[in-house]
Formats: sequence, structure tokens, C-alpha cells
Amino acid sequence: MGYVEFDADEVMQEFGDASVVSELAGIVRTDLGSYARDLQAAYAAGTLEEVRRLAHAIKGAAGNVAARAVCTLAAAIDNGLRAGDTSVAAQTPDLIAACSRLERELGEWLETLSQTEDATR
Amino acid sequence: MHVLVCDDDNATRFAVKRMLTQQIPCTISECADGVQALQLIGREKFAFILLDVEMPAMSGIEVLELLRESPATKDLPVIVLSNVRDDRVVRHLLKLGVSDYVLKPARAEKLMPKIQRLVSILPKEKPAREQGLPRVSASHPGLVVDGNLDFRFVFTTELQRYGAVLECDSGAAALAAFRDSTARIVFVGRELGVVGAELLVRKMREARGADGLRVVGLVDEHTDASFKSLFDAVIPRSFNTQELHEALRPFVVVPGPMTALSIVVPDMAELVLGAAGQVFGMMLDADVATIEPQSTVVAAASAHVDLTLEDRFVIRLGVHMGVVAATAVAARMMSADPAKVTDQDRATVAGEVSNLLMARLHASLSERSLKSEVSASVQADGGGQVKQPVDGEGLLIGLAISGAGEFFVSLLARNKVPEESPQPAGAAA
Repeated sequence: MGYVEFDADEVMQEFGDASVVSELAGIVRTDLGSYARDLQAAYAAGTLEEVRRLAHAIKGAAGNVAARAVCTLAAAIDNGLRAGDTSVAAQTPDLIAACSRLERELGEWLETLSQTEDATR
Repeated sequence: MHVLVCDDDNATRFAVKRMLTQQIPCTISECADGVQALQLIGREKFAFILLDVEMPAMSGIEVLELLRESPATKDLPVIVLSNVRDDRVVRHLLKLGVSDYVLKPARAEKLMPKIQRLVSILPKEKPAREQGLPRVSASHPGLVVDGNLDFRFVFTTELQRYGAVLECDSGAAALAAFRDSTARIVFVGRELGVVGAELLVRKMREARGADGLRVVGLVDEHTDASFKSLFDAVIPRSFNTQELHEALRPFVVVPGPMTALSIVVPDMAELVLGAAGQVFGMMLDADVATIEPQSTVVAAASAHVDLTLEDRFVIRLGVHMGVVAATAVAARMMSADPAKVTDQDRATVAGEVSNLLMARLHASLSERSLKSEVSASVQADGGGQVKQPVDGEGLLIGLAISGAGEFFVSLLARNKVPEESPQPAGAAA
């Protein structure tokens, strides 16, 4: 299955072992969900420093699974706000949506990895 | 090698830990912010740190600045792993002396060569060097200085399990005791009075030279890093004897039980000899004198009795009589014709002698206020070969009875363990 939001091949190649990759993807998926919820709240409250901090955290977490689109969007918000450009905050809903897609794809991948592991047992 | 991974991103910590443990022999502590990192660095000794920059509570830069200010950590190698690309931040980190800077995401291809390069230039692990470092043993005393009487008592009691300990309540007293002693390992605590730890350590090092002296700090969680840096090593202050027991291991020679027993009762052999003199003097109007036993001796009859001492040791006292001695003693004790003494008589007499010897030994130990208890009744072991016990685990004493041959007393010591089950025969084979 092809994934749009992240590079499954790169992650697989980097870590090799399906059980390790599953654990890593699981951690990223859980953390992304939590960051995205907090980001939604911070954006609604207009607390831009919190928006920046969460965008930075999302950039770090998404990088582990080579989720380049999420990383690029998160970096734009992080760097823009760090430089005082508040207009980049308007991209926050896009980042939240991208996180949601990534979370869903990671869920599907985890399911596939789990089936593969079961089949090889 | 012990490594600290400090990053607020759970997945990065997971990935880095896997890379490290797969490629270099190491143990890892991890934390998610700068405050936790400083706490861990204060408690544990790390070969290097992998540090994120942007973290909650305290940033990686703040951690680095604090590390570089402290003499104990100013040279601690740090590799920064971050997704901060800001030039000013990177320049500042380089000024703070980071070993390397690696951009996230953590990928083995980028990170591991930098870690391998760092590891290759780190000082070699201590254990090999520590082999030759001074330790407290039966022949090498330790010096303990601490103004807190309660702690000093607990610590000294634990340390005395391994060797002689000189105890001082102040830095000035320690300095005087150090000059007059052969101690090469010193444990330095707190509340030392006018001569504080810094001065004391400096004076001792001047007197004995850095190589011939090992100075160990007794520290707690509030002790600052600059104080810890005075010492070659530190031990956490604890009133928990089990914790102290574990912490002391690198600083002591763990003795065999007989060696440990010789610290509690240094003249055990003399006590046995004294007991034998009394027994044979009273019973048989005969004298005993020591002889040198061979590595293996042959007994016609053997018997043993166990004694528990100070709730720490079980001492098995065995009596092994040659055929001449066993026959002569049996004939005298039973007023029998030596030609009619049987193997059973010889076994009985070996048991009788071991009982009498143990009673005298027990009395001598009690006179010294040592807690002793005969924990098993006499057991006959038949005859056979008796081997010289392994060094540190026992003694074999040879005795000659005037006009009545030779016999041997074996002392085997072992550490008492809870819920003891009966032990097999001692030295007799």
C-alpha cells in the first residue's frame, strides 16, 4: 500500500525490524494525536508561542517517520513565528489536518505491519 | 559505558536508544527535559550526553551552560541532536564546546559515525584501571572522616566487614590519623569542622601523591557538582546497609568468609590451640603442641560441630584423629586396653573431643562478648582424607599430643544465610 504522508520504505530501511518500526510508528502516532489536539486548542486561544512550540514538537515527531509534508508545514510555522511573522499561524489548520491524515495512515500501516508479523509467526 | 539521552520527543529517544545499544556496548539513562538531565548528571556518571536543544522546563542550551560552569562537568562530551537550524543557536552551541551537532531526524547513517568518533577518543573505561586502585581489605585499612556520628557509625560498621577502619570525626583528626597510618583509601563525608573537605583532600594528596591515594566522597542528592569533583569517586550517603553494601563493592576486597572472620576474631587459631591445651591438659594430663599439617592428612576418625558467630558466620569445627592418637585417647578416656579399641570407639572419641573443644571455644568467644551459639550437635564423619581448606575459607591446624600421636582441627567458615539447610560434611572427604 502506498502512503502519501510518510515514507514507509525509508523508515523500514532505517530500522529494519518490523517490530521496532511498529513500536516507533506507534509512539509517533500517539504523540502526534496529542500534539494536534493541543495545537487546535492553542490556535483557538490565540496563544502563538504555544502554537510555535507544538509546531516544533510535531516537526520533531513527524521527522522520525519521514513525514516530509507535515515536517515542512510545521517548520514553516515554527520558523515564521520564531522570526516574528505571525501570519504563518494561519497555516495551523492545514498542519492539524495534515497531522490527522498522517495519524490515519500510520494507523493503517501499523495494521499492515501487525498482519505481516502474524503471518510470519 | 553509560550514556544519557535527553530529548522531549519520545520517538527520537526510542530511535536513538536502539541505535546506540545496537552499535556500542553501553547502558542508557533517558529524560525528557533539561531539569531531569541535570538531576541525572548529578547522580550518575555518563561517558557522554546526547542532548536536544528545545525542550520544556529547561533548554539544552541552558543545560550546556550550567555543565560548562561546573568543574565536574565542564569537559563532559555532549552531542547535540536537534532540528533547530538557526545559525546563531548553532554558533552558541559550538562556543559551549559541543562535540558535534546532528540535525534531526535521528538516522544511524548521520549520527553513529559521530558517536563512534567520540567514543574512540574517550578515556578508556575505568574498571581496568580500577583493578590496581587501593581498596579496603584485611591488610589495607580505610580511613573514614565524617562529623555525623550516626552516619559514621553505620558506614564504618559496614566497611569493617572488609578490613580495619580508622574513624575520625573531623578533618583535623583525619589529617593527623592519615599521617600516622598506611591508609591509601579515604572516605570523606561532611561536617568536618575547621579543616574542610577541600583542604583535607589537598593535604592528603600532597602527602601521598595522587597515584597512591584514592579519595571517595560520601555525598547526597544536595551535594553540588563542584564538591563531588574533589573526589576520585563518590558514594551516596545512606543509612540503608544494603545500599551501602552495594555501593562499597568497588572500594573493598570482598574476603572469603574465613578472612572476614579473622577480622572479627583475629586470633581464632590461638583460641583453638588454647582450647585444645585445656581439654588435653584436663582430660589426659597431656600437652599439645602445633605441627605443620600437610596439604592432605589422613584421619582414622573425624567429627564436627557447628557454631554460629555474631549471626554472620557459621564455623564448622572438625576434629580429625590419626589412628595412633584416636586409639591412645580412646584407651585413656575409656580406661580400655588399646588393643581392644574399635573403630566405633575412635569415632566416639573424635566426637567427644570435638564437643569439648567447641565448648571451650564457645566459652572463650562469649568471654569477649561475641554472640556465639552451638548450632548443631556433634556429627561423626568416619575417617578419610582431610584437605587443607581453600585460602580465605578455612584453617587446618595440626596438633601433637605428648606421647599419643597427632590430630588435626579444621575450621571452616561460611557466611550465615537465612533459613539454613543442613550442610554436608566439612573438610573430611
